[in-house]
Amino acid sequence: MAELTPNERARRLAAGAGADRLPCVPIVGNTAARVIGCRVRELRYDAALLANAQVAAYREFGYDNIRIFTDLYTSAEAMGAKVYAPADETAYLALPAIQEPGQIDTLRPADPQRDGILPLQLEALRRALDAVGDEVPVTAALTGPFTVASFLVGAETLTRLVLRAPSAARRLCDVALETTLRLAAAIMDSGGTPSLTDAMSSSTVISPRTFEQFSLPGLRTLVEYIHGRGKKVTLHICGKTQPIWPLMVATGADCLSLDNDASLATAKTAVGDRVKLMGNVHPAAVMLQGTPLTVRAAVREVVAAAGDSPKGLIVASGCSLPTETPFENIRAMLDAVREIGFPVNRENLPETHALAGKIPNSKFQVNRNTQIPNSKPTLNYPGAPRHPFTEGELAHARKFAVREESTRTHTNPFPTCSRVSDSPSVKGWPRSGRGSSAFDAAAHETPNHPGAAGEGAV
Amino acid sequence: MSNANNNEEAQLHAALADDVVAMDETNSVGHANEIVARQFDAYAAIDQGLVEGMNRVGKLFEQEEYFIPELLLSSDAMYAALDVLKPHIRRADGDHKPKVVFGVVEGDTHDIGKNLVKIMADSSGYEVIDLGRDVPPQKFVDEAVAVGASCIAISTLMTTTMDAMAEVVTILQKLNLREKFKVIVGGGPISPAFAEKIGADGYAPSAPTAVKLLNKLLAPPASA
Repeated sequence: MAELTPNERARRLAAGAGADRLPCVPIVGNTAARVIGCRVRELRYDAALLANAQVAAYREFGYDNIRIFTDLYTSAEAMGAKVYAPADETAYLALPAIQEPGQIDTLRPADPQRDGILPLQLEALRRALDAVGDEVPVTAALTGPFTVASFLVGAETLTRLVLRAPSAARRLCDVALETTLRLAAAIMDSGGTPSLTDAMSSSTVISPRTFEQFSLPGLRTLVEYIHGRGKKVTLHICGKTQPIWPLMVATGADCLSLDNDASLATAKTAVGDRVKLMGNVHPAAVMLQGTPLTVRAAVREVVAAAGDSPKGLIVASGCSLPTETPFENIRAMLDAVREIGFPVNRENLPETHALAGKIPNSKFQVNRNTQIPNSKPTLNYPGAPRHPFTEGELAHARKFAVREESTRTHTNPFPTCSRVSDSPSVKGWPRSGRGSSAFDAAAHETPNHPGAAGEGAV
Repeated sequence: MSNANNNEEAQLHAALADDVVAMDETNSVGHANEIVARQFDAYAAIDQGLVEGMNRVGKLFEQEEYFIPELLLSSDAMYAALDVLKPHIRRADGDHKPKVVFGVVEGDTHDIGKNLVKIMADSSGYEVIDLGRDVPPQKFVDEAVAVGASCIAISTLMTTTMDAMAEVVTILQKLNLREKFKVIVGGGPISPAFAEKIGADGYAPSAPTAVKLLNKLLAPPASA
């Protein structure tokens, strides 16, 4: 079969009509600067250049999804956080928007058409869509509310707040959610699809219980809103995620993008019948430091682990590629996927038992024999969930909470969560998207420091 | 000292450990004050109370019962009690804690990981010299020389700054100082292979394992 365009491939795979190969997305971020020979910082402050670079990288490698992305800080920056952008490296957070929790109520949701570099990201999205939107999906990175909240007040402060002052943490997550909802609306108004990325929600950082109380509600609201406008959405969380897979499914996301800390074979068994999986070649150890041979071997392991996942697999890097990832390694990833073809010929792939030792022995093991009941209850979050999940998954999710409870010697520091979507600021969110009567964005400085660009990997 | 006193002292040690595990700063300070008021040995309270508590927290962290927020709050409770007890340590048993110079490498300002390792090392009998974040490679070397450190510990969360880690080793080699210091590296994008490639002495994937690595590389601290 001749090489299909990414849109054709996606359509055919969704229809069960077969395709030339599995979808493949080496998550190219600022590596795009290397493709057109510009500096990383230039991408952050020049919409045309950012679009050109991303389109050129897509044309160079022929992967299945363009993502407009410079760094994780654009939403927080639009709410007052300071970002430092080195000349030729990914930007990073220089200073949170507020220095103490007492200032949370001074924060205002951002206006994506005006604040920080959000207007530039939207313009880059439109330009990329104009150039290649008919052949390849073009998404725009949307940093999750909990992660935005961590950049607004500082990661350490937020992690203390979630245990010590949950109501303050919740107000912070609410205002971050409102910004992300507005940005999601603006992205879809521009014709693109938001791509959710939520580094701080990782189980490397917070407990499944904290995730359930502070990340899940906002993500659910976002996913529901995106679905309401007829788009599907991918949720990426870096680092360890196995303890929260059922909760990630509960967000309603259509595809989970998992980092290299996760075992795709285990994910397939646990949640592969509910969501598409995406992952998870090591961005640094394999893609940056490896050779085309090691990349090929890693791709074959990924496909052997989850190529037969019921809802499908996108072969991808575990996280955004480091800027200096060699082009030959990115090409090798695509070549390896082409070589495997479709349907996946398992005979050529590594034996499953060869992988067994690489699947981490987790205590959050999912029972393969769990019967999924026919009735599909939902969580108690308001709004009609489009993707209700099963009792089995619920029980699995609750197991963590119960286990945590029983092993703690102290009083439970987590009061019952008041759902984020109860908050008046989110209720009645205008479906048309652009702004609301409650809109009252503070006058944020536009960045006057020299430009920059960023890594998705946290 | 009577048996009753011994028993009460042991109970206070256990209470301090529990306070740390329970992230309870108010109680840990209260129990530390009680140690001082009753003129029990402050060093023993730190070692058998606070350090024991942090050890348990480290285990809970490894077992994924505790996560970063819990670890930070436990360390808050530990440090608050430590502030009360420290002035009352009777200095006699020579101060031979191995010194470790810590920092996040230049170009990176993410320091949660480094702070966790610092906390765990601090509570495991190491003297911690914290250079903070965004630290130039040369400064690691200068500080290690200045304080007579046993080990340089470098952290990064970003792939863009990994090369600066290698530069620390290169500078040490250039100055013929490589044998004087152990160098350990850690952080999100770091792998054992990378540590080996740049000629570091070791890599650890988490805060508790970093302390185990220190224990392995350096002579065990006096209290261990």
